Amino acid sequence: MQDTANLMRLLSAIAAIVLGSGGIIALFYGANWLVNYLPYGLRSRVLPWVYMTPALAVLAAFLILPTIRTLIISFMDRRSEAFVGLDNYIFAFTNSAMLIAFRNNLLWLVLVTGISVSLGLVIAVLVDRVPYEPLAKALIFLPMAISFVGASVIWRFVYAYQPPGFEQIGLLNAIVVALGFEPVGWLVNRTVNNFALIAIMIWLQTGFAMVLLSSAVKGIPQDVIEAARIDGANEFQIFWRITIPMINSTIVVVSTTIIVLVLKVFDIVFVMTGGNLDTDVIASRMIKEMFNFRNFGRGSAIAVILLLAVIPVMVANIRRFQQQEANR
Amino acid sequence: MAHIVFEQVTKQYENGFVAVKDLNLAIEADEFLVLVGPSGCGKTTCLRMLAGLETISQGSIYIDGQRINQRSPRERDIAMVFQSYALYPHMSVFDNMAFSLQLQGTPKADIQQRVQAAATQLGIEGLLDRKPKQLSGGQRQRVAVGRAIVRNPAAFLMDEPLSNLDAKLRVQARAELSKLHKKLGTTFVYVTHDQVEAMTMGSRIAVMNQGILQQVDTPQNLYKRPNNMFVAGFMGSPAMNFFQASLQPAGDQLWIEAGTLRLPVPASVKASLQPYLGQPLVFGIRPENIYDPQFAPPGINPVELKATVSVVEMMGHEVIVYLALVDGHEFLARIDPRSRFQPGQTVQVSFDMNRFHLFDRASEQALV
Amino acid sequence: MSSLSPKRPAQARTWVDRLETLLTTAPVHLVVIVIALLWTLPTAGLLISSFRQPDALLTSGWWSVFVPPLDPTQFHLGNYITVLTRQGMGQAFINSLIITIPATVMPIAIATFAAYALAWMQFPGRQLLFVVIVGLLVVPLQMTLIPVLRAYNSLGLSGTFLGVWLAHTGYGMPLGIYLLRNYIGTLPRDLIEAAAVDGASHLKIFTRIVVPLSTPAIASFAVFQFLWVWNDLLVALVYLGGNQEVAPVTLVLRNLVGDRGQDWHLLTAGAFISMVVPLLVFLGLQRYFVRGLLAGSVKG
Repeated sequence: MQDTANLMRLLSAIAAIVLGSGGIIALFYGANWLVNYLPYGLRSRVLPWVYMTPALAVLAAFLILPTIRTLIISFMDRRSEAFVGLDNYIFAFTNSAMLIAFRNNLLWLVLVTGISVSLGLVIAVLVDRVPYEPLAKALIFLPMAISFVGASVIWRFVYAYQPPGFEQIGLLNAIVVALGFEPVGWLVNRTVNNFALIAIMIWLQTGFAMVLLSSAVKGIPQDVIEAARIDGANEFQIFWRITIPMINSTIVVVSTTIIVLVLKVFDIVFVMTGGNLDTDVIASRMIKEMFNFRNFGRGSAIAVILLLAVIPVMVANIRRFQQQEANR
Repeated sequence: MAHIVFEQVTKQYENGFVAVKDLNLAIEADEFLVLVGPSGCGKTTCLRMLAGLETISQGSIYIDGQRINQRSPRERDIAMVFQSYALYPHMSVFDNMAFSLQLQGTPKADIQQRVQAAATQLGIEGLLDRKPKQLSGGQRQRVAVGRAIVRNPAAFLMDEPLSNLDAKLRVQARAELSKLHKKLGTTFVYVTHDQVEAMTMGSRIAVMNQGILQQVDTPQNLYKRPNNMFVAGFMGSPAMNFFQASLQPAGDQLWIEAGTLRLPVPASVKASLQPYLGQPLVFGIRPENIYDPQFAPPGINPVELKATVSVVEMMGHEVIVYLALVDGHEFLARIDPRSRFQPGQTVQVSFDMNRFHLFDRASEQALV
Repeated sequence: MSSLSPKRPAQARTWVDRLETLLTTAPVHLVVIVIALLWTLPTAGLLISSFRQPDALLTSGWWSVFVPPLDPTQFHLGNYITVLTRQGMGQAFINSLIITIPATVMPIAIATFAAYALAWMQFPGRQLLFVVIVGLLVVPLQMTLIPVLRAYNSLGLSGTFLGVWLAHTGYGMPLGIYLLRNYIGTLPRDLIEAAAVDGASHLKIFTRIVVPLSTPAIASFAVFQFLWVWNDLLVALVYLGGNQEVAPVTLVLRNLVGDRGQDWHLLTAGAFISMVVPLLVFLGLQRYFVRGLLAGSVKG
């Protein structure tokens, strides 16, 4: 019985995969075949839209229209029945839990971006000089493949706490105890818990920063470095006066990418502490408003605040893209 | 073997730029027509409109009497060789050459046979399994040509196919393309900015400038009787020398006066030039029609004049001399290598007055 | 050949040189090795612990396995068997595959077609569309959750695979189009035109020229999207809700943390099960992943 049920499950899984993947390709072939019956002039005008339509449809359905809808809901009450003006926004900027979330988010932004990028840069420069570079890079980069949930479990284990006197099974507390201190409740102690969570994100993102910065560092022409050396620059001067200015644009790109990611981070807080003990961030508050308190107005207002926060990045991206196009 | 006609064809881009203006051109079947002109003159646009890669803003293009404006490239039965060769980098040489046949649904054995034949003809049968990356420039060029000939198309379009070859290979490839044209007997439309390629390969040459067709003729006629100053200056290297001039009568003789120059007009053309007396003109003479009097061949109509040598470029089989008249007007002469002209010398040179050109200064059109 | 005499000093110099190099590079080695170790230890600890006995896990740190005597019998697969069969991780693993594969293939197909159109077809509004897509790259998912969830509830799509596939397709679309259009746009124009003259229709140009030549970019996006979907918690949490039948590994692992937070033998094994596929993909296709990141971020 159990076996046949599992077999059925597996078969339906394969069927689902084939249908989901094959369906979309069949769609394109079918549409293209139909368009071939149109005269040439019309065909060349219709065909681009045949290729674009599925993309535009999902973009509209999942990003553009919902974004507009969320904007509207953010001005309405918890069940989106009555217009409440700016109430939800006033709540978002005055409620004490929200203010803590803002503070935490700021902390996340500054620490994760600052440390990941600078550490990533240092590693990128240093790793260039060791023969086992690929291995070292792979090890540091590896966390990028791990989900926030998986990373959370890994670090819960690192932060595990046993009362004093018991054998510590968490690595961090074992070290603390070995150094002669009391074990710390990393996730419950309000002075350190936010930093404990932020450390996870740094662990995850440093590899990303390193890989991008490393390729930028390698892109600096060797003769520029050599010219600087002949001009009498030492390694530190080369780092500050040649390397950093030359990879400046990459540093900006990496930083903004991490900023956007950190703004949206929710999983780590959600899994590790559930946002309790003053560890909430904006994104996790939003899920709470939405699911726990069922207040869609407030949830939407918080989402809009997130959107507003990324708009400068959006504008910068578009500018950069337009310059890039102009240079083509 | 297609007869191609451009009828009042105009190409205007969305930004308003007119690349080709009111082009009328008939290309005979089996002809090797070269479209030549400086970069940006519209010659490539013409070719691309013919290929269907560019829409036609106004006018019509006909292939064998059929209007093809609304046909997609694949419905035009033409093959094209690109300047970059545009070989598909992920396909072997064989697949590159077979691609168009595969798309037509040609039977496999047939494809095999045609590709093999084309490869043998071009001497690339040993390269069929290679990827384009593994080929030299010359080999790539052959593959690009091979890709065109397997199709046996009504017309070959070539867009500067030799410009990526080094000088020596280019000379060789030029001769091979000419041979290929004779052998295939198909219409070739060939775009180049290089007037040497145009002169050596074309059965007729169409010279374009700023989107406008200047003149279409055989290489000889184009060289001997350019329609206007642009064609005169563009065809031939070094370019024709121009002097601002006017016609003045003195006694029963007509004189071309250009600054300090005073040149007698030969009696044979005197009558036809009479209407232009006193008008602003341009006098043109090619460097090869200027001689060191010591080595002037018989049969010319020499008029000697004084000039100062500034630079002498020894080319081996000829010498290019940069000269200046007393009034400072500079010109070039291509003279016999035995000549002893030295920089700084003031020398006598001979203009062959049987081989000069006169143009109207305002319209730049040729008079004789 | 030169005489023998210069050889000896040369050798001596090499030796001194080597020592000097070693001394000057020692700090570099130290820093790199320490950081690499620090970055690896948390994961290594988890992996080792997942094979230990449940009670041993709770009474001693994982590093104690290295204390002699080394005893191979303290390791077992029991935790994995328990978590796979009794905690729903086995079903969740299959669910994750069912979710991830179509949610990777669908956006690739859609984005590649769109990217080709944006790069090589003429139609009005082309530039504007792409600018909008660049803008959408950074729109937070949170902006879309409530309206999409409401729509899903009324359409009966919440708690279904189809719903998650479509959602991930939508969310992956801006990056996919952006990445692929940038790559496809750099293919030589001549190649596309040569194929057109050779008699290829747009679909043939697409399948025979553009797709084969764009495999690096497609692979990059595939790896990126695969990891993103497999590792996703938010979309699964919101659109699949409490339906355990369809829950992916991330969701089941998260519930495990909530329900059995101190059962480290289950958590460690569960976490590793959730990580094994992305780790394999990552190790096998790291090249494409990095290239995707590079193309997506540093270009221009």
